[in-house]
This record gives sequence, structure tokens and C-alpha cells, in this order.
Amino acid sequence: MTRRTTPPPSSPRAELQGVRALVEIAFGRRPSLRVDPLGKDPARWREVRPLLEWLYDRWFRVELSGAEHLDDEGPTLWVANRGGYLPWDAGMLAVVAHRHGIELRPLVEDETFYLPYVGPVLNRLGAARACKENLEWILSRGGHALIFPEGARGSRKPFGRRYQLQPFGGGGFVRIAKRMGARIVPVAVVGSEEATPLLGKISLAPLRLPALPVTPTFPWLGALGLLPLPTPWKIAVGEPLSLPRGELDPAAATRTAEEIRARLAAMLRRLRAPDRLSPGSGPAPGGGAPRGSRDGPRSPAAPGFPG
Amino acid sequence: MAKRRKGPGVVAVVGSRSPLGQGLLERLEGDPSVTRVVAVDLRPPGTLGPKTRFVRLDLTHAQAQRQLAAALEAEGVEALAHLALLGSPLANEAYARELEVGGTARVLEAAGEAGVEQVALRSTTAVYGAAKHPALLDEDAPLAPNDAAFLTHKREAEALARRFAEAHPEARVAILRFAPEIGPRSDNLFRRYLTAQVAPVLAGHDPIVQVLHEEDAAEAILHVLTHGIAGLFNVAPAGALPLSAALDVLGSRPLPIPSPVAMASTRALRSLGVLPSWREPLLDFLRYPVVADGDRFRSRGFTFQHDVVTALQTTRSP
Repeated sequence: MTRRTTPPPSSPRAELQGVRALVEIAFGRRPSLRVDPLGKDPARWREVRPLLEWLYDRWFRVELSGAEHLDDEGPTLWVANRGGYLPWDAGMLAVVAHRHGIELRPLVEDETFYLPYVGPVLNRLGAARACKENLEWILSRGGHALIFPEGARGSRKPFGRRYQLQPFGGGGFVRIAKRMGARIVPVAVVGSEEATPLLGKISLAPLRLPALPVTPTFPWLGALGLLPLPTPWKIAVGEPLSLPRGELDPAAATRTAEEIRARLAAMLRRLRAPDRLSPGSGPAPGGGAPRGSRDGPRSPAAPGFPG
Repeated sequence: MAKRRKGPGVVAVVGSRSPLGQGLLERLEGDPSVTRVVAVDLRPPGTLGPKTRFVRLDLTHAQAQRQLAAALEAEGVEALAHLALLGSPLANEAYARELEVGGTARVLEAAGEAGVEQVALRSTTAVYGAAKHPALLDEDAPLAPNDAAFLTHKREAEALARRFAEAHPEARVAILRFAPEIGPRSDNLFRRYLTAQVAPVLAGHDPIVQVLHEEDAAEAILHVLTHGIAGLFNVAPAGALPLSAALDVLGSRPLPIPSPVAMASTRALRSLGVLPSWREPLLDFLRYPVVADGDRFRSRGFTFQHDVVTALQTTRSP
């Protein structure tokens, strides 16, 4: 069911300290003496979390649905759509996970993970480079990983193509999830694309630097322009798919990945449909994706997931 | 291969004057399963133990192979550690190549002629190259392209050792990729960088770095020689730190430089004759993490005594 998370009592001090921690990590001024093998410093995550929670509750006013599908039994592989230049979506999903007792490890595409200043922050807070070895590392320890199969195709697409799911690539993540016995949790995020709409890019290739994004606020407002716009967000958690542990041939994996993509596309459509006007969605206004109402994606998806 | 009866017997250390070589000589002197030690280098070791004999040899010399083979045979050497590879790049890359690649070829040929049963080659985790890697690199990880001579020489030396292993199936050949060595005695490019008062860093980048205490490095070679271990291994302790934290522990001040400026000034400094050995590909090690997974070596019974923080702390004290 669609429900608005009740904001916990917040102290502005903690959030401001989160901002400070964020800036200091970016400039290498807050040394981490303990990081895990993927580069996460749990202390930095604790410092920045109040800021992310404030963004979740007050800035983006996230409406979460499908939370009944979440439990802390690992391993799980969250599969989400990627929107916006900077991975605020990963941060908001980490908050969702944290509030359900789950430590979520986002895997971020190279184009974002190696950005100067941004990369070290993402890494210390728990994100890692999106690659098969890192995914296996997380899942083999019974952990929870978040991937964006669209990768940079999702985060670097122009605003006009927002929420159009880009190709998922091969089904590599499906094969790894099946080998590790991980449940796949589809997660749809709406609001991320409007928070940092990508209007264009400035190439800095001659300097061997990544291209600069052009948004309504960046680079016009300087570093302040990197802040996301306060768009209302909706996040829907879909029913997890349990794949029996084992090997999968590449063709079957690609098929399953396509089915997941179709499901995610349907969840996005439902989330974006205007309230009350969503045609034929029955008892689920706003597209919360409750169990009973999954009409479109269910039938094509079902044969792909025995058990 | 049958298990060794009891220890390696007679051991040769090529490159015995290096900090790692000195550490190994001390351990071999103290190990009762080692009967004699042959120390091979251009200069004699600082202290010569009662079991140790010094053989002066220039590995870049054409006659080195013949001389070394004769010495190995005369002493009845059973195990050999080849440590004569550079810890810092040299401006004279032709000489460096002659020493690292040519020298390794001569040492291996001599070992083959003398029927040495066990060979350990010192390599480095830098051979993986600095690139967009997984967070942890195991021994099967592909080597990223990097044309710094400092790396390519080690890769060529490893290839020679692999060929030697194929040609001599009766010999046990171990290739040891050491994480950057650190400690009170070690001396290499990365240690000099970390312990500089002001350390240039690439602005906005803070890669995870891994270090290996010099005592663990010497113990690792001893472990390989005394247990007859063969194969390719990362010698890298668990645990790593962001570069910013490593510099902080050592009391070095980071000096952030935007990458385009760093690239341009590297080129400019070299053309002016300052920092002649420093090349742009090495800058990538300040951008991308190279962290090796030491599980395979640990599974062969080795225990690291130092973690990254204690290793750095022993280095800090002058």
C-alpha cells in the first residue's frame, strides 16, 4: 500500500554535520582509518545518514510503497532504474533499506564512480564500482546489493527521455544472483530525473576530465547547483523473485533480465500515472504495486521464475 | 612434487643488498632448516652471518649467467630467491630493463643449469596496473594496460618465470606479487612518496591504498622457501586505507593538484631534467585503487603480523 513515511524528529545539527562530513570527505580532509574491502567507512555513513534522511523526508518527501516486500534476509539484489547525473537515487534507496534493517551496497557506473570529489564520497558511504567481482563479493557474504543495469545509459540520458528504461545489457546480474542464491528485488524510483534534469553536457575531453553536466542550476550556481531540486519522489518496491540456486545459460539469463526490465517499466508507468486517473489499476491509486493488482508485467514475467 | 624432507638446505638470495634481501638473510641465518646461504649482489650485505657467503655479481653483465651457475653448483644451492628488481623507477630505462628483464633471464637460466629445485621471484601488485578495477584483485585478474617501464619490466620478468616453470616441471616456481613494502628499512617509490613532507595528490581523488610491512614481506619469502610453495600469489595483508588516511597516519601533508595540471607538470619537469624517472602512467596510481586479495597466500598457511595501520606507524618513527 502507498504510505508516507512519518518523518522522525530531526535535529538540524546532525544534518549540518552531515553536510560538513560530505564536503570534508570530498576534499580528503576526513581520513578514514577503517574501511571495509570495498572502501566503505561505517563511521562516515553514520555521519552523513541524517542528511540523507532529511533529504528523504523533507526535501524529496518520498512516498514509499511495497515496503512489505522488504526483510533483512540476504542475499538480495535490488534492481532499480537510474535517473539523474548524481546517484541521489542510490542514497534514497540506502535510506529505505536502512529503515528496514538492511545495509544496502549500491554499485555505481564508472562514469559516476570515478568523478572527482564525488567518487570518494560515494565510496566511503558504501557504494562500489559496478562490476561482477564486487557484486559477487557482496552477495557471497549474504549482503544486499543495489544495481542499476542501465548504467550510464540511464544517468547520462537527456531529460526528454526520462524514465525510459535503457537496455539492461546482458543478463550477467541474473546469472550471478542465481549462482549466489540471491533474491532479485525490482525497485522503481520516480522523481530522481526531475531532481537533476540533464539539459546538456560540456565536454572537457581535452583536459582528460569527465564531461560537465548542464542542469537548470549547474554550473550557473556553482557548487550549490549540484544540489538536487526538491521534486516529490515515489519509490515502489516490487515483489522479490526467488531463483533457485544454480547456473543459468546466457540466453535464459538475458530473457530473465528482459522480463525484469518489463516489470520495472510497468512499475514506473504505474508510479508516474496521475493519482486517481490511472486506468485500470483497480484498487491501487498512484500505482503502489500491491500484490493483487500487478496485471501487465506479471503474466510475461511468471514463466521465467520457476519457484 | 614430493614434500621437502626438512627445509630448503642451501639457499641463494639474489639481490641480497636490498632491504628485503637483508631481512631475508637475517631470517635464513636464524632458521635451523637452512644450512648455508649464498648472498648475491653488487655489494656485500651489511652484516655477514656465519652461514652466509657473499658472491659479487653484476646481473647486467653478459657473463653473469655463467658465473652465477658456477656459484650455485659449487655451493649445491637448492632454493633461490630472486629479489633484484627495482623498487623505484630509474631514469635510465635501458639499464633498468637490462637489470630487471635481462637479469631475471640470466638468474633463471643459471638456476636451471645448476638444477635449483625451488625459485621464488619478487614481483609487485603494481603489475595489475592502475585502472578501473574491482575493489579486490585476485591472482587471475587481468593486467590493465600501462606502459610505465617500471611495470612492464616486472610483467616481463613474471613471464620469464612462467616459461621457466613450464620448461622445468621438476622445479617449484613461486611468483610473489608484493603489495608496496613499507617499514623502517624499506626503500621504494611508494614509501618515499608516502613519507614525503608534502605529498602531491590528485585533487578530488582518494584511492584506497594497500601496504605490506617489510617484516611480513621477508617472512613470506621464507615461508615459500621452507614450505616448497609454487604458484602465483599476491602477498598482501587484509585491510587497506584511503590515501588521505595513510598520509595522515604518517604525518605527511597532502597537496591537491588538479589532474590536468599534474599531467602537464609531470611532462614539463621531465623535459627540464627534474624527476627524470617519473612518468605520467604512474600518476594513475594516485587516481585508481590497486588492492590485491591475499587470500590464496593465506590459504597456504601464511599469517600476516602487521595490519595497514601498524605497518604505517612503524614507518613513521624515524
